[in-house]
Amino acid sequence: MNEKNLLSIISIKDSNKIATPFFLDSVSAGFPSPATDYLENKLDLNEYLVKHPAATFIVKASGPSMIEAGISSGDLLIVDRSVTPKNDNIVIASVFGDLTVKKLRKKKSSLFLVSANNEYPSIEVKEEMECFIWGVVTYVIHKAITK
Amino acid sequence: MSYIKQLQSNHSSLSNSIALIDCNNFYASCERIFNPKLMRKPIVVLSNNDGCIITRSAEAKKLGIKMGEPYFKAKKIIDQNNVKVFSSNYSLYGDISQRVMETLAKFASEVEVYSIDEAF
Repeated sequence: MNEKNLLSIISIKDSNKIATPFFLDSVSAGFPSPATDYLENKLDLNEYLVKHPAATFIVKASGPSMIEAGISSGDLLIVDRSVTPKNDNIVIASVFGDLTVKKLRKKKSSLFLVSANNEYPSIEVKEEMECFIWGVVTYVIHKAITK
Repeated sequence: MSYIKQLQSNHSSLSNSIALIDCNNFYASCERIFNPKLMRKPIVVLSNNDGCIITRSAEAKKLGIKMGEPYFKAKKIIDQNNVKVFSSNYSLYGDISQRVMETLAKFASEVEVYSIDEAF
């Protein structure tokens, strides 16, 4: 399990807001409502994705270890360091100084860092391990077009 | 931050209070954010063109490395103790500084930024 340099961290660029017209209807696989032609809202993606700008970082994922959680290699993870991690959150954890993406799972009194890929082992967090939760993944930006 | 919370609970005295915030070995702390391996290890950050030592982590201070000391003078101690050395990365420190100040602004009605890692 060589997970070195799995993650690279990108800082968020200060920029003008980009308000994208936002369809209020959720998308279903049927005929779209004609009412959505009258757009009522504009969505700024920065505002939507980043709730706490001072504590949020973008982390680029690499490797297939979280594929079943919807995170592919190259996806951008919005990571909020001010959010308190809860059971089942996807987190960036520091294990012996290496940053890695895992799902946090509490079982009775034990704590696990679980991969979302059977080929990757879970890690049980033990007291003597140098481990802390670096931040909580709040959004995953995944490219839907693959060439 | 718990101290600030304590101040907030005692709100009447807060209105006239001034707090001085100074980040601990700021540049070294910034380097640690993205590289947790550096926690509890001695690290130093050098000035422009790697001339002098301008930030020492607590562990580096303990080794007797002095503030402002030219890098070549401290090189022996640094090599012997496996001290990690960084060239200054001001775009990183600037970004983190901005985040610190933004966070401080939430706790005080007025913030006067005094330097990259200090504020009133």
